[in-house]
Amino acid sequence: MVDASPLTGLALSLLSVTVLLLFIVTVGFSGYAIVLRIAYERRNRLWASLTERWSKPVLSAIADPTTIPAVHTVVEKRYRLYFVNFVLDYSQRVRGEELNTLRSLAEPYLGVIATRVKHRRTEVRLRSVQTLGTLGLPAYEKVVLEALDDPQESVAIVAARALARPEYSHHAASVFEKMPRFSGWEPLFLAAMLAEFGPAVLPLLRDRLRDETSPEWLRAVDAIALRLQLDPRGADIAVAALESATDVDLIAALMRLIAELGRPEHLPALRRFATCASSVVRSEAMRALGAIGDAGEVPLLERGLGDPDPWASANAARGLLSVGGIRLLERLSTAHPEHAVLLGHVAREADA
Amino acid sequence: MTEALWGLVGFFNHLVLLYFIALNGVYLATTVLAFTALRRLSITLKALDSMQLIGSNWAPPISLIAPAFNEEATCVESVHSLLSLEYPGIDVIVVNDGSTDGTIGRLKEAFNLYETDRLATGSIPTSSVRAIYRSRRHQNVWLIDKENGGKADALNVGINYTHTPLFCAMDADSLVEPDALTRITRPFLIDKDTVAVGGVLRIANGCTVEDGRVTDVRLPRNFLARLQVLEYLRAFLSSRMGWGALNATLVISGAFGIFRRSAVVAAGGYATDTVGEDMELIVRLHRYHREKRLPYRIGFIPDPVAWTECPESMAVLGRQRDRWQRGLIQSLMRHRVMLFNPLYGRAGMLAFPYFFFLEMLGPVIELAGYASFIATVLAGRASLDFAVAFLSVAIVLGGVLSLAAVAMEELTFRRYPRRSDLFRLFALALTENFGYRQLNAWWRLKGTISALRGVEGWGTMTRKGFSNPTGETS
Repeated sequence: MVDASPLTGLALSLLSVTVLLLFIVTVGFSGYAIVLRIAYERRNRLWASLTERWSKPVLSAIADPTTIPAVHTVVEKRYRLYFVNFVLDYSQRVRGEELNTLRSLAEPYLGVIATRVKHRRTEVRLRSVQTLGTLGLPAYEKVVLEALDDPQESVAIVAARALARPEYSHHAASVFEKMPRFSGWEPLFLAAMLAEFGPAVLPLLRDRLRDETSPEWLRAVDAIALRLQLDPRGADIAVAALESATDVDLIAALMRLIAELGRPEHLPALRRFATCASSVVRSEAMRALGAIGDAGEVPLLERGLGDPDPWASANAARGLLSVGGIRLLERLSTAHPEHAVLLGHVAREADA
Repeated sequence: MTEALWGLVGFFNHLVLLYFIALNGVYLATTVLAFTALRRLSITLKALDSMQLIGSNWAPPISLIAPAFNEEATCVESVHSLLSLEYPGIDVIVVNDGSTDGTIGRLKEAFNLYETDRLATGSIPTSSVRAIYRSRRHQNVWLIDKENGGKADALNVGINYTHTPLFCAMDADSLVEPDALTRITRPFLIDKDTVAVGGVLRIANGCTVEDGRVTDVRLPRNFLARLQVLEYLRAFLSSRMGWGALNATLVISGAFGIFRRSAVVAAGGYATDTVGEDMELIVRLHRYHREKRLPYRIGFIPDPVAWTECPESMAVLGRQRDRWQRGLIQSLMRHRVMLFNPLYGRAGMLAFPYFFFLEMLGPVIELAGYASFIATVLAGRASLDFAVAFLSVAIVLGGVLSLAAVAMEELTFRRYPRRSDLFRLFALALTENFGYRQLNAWWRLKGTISALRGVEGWGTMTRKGFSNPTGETS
């Protein structure tokens, strides 16, 4: 062995000591993990015994709600949060009256949960809002409504989801107001959430779709929600909105709305999009022209068969089938052998 | 002359020491990042039920693309397993990659397939498609029979016939957990710019599999397979989770990942001239979006799980590692423009250099380093300080990282319910750095040499099959 220079030796020693310290910390960390495992197993055993204890009475209460007070007598005070979790798990599998019974079962213990919606830890707030949203409405409506302002987006969206039911449509405006918070979320998800408010929300959706000062992504969400709600007036608004829309997602959402709920008088507004630079828009234009058009749209759709985008050409072929039936497809297959494969596909697709 | 040579060796030894510090330092950093992210995620998962959040109103349809080559023995069970996934809208597209056994016949019989058409929605160049079949029993099951062209080619065919916005790329023999799709779509829900998400791959050897589902999780009996369990835990929970937290994921396993179809088509689909098509695609997705200045996110989440069978023999494992190394080198060399290029953000400035210098060149440096260190010690030319530091950083720190990975698994997902398995994992974490790590480096070095020699192909991968409750294998 040779000696390292003092400076190198010091650096190497420091390195070794650091690694040793890290090793000690990790061994401690591993020990902690083992201790937690033991605690976890104990908790699991407790949970299993509580589940066994509560399952029968809860099932009886679902069958006969008059036994609800009897269930409360078997829930010890120290296990009340466990009981709420137990009921919450159950609630994922039931609906209607059975869900109402579960709400009654949880009701005496929800006060504790309500105190946790301002907890400093996000996960506690999340769980509390989800619990109250599932089991605590309408009693804790105000608490859930306040959670729309939670600093964490995830908590706010859980609150919004909980409120998005026809019976709470009076809160739709509050949810609408918070929507800009969710700009990164998938538009279809947001639209489905808004649509769950039911028909009462239609005026709000229409107003915002008309409002050119609203962000275009938000108007796209509204257009999707109107389509999910099958709102025929939505198509008229969509046609007007097409005039000024610039965002591809908004234009596509508007055209999808027109395709499903539009009328032949909307056709002139659509035709110019059949040659748009965006393949998404062209594809939706073909879909809409085929869906609400008639024989007059055949030339445009026929041209669409040659669109380089496979979705646009397929929608053009489907549109031709819709406006001219199988005979038109057969005739076009002969006239345009280069599109025969596509037309054959669409014919068989319809057949299947 | 001799002194000069020893001087060079000494210099090299210090370089190797720096390499180990850098490598394990990065591991340590990703472990710390992963730990924070994992804790947050696992608590959120406990707090919030994904399916309840997503609901059935928003569940984007997914096409499950399963390439199959000579999968006669397992293909029917695999498709049944896919059909049993708890997800509202799935298309199952099995792509028969020119199998020479009875794969097609078994599928035709089991699912009552009839020949039909399906509209092609993409035009990624592929080998020719011979026929398309659809099931009479399950309208969402499709079989595309094509000329042999390799896994990447089969996936491209599947993508060309995908009608859904998302697709899941998987191995035909991957066992996907029932709720994995619900969980893995969550990033697509909360961030509309998400283009790809990877999930965790776990080792199914030793576990009990019933009806295509893992019903009893335990460590494999085979020692080599056990070591791979540990390796996968470290790779997925520490490394990929950490890189994912930095938004610099460069690898999504080919055995289980979800992609936005339009993004993959725009980027050109899977490359068919590499054995690392899974990594190559992710690197290319980064490049494509960065160069076009398009918003995107490539994520990794640890709770959606797919199970796979790992090799139990040295020969097969060696071939697998050889192939992985070749795939890594091919991907990195093809996209070397990304190296330290700020245009590519964290992927180019952090992840790419890590893979390039520490993973790609690692086996060469590591093995040469061990040889040089041993020679120096035997010649009595190493200082005690250096020897201790070298062993600390190369061996002990490796053990620290493995221990941390096991502890993280235990603090978050606890997939190994038997306490004895947990203790075995901890013991393995302390021992795997003596021998297995060096063996791995040797296989990867061979892979590096194969890559330099331009060796192509996957090599033979024999599988034992999953264990059913009676202990028999399928």
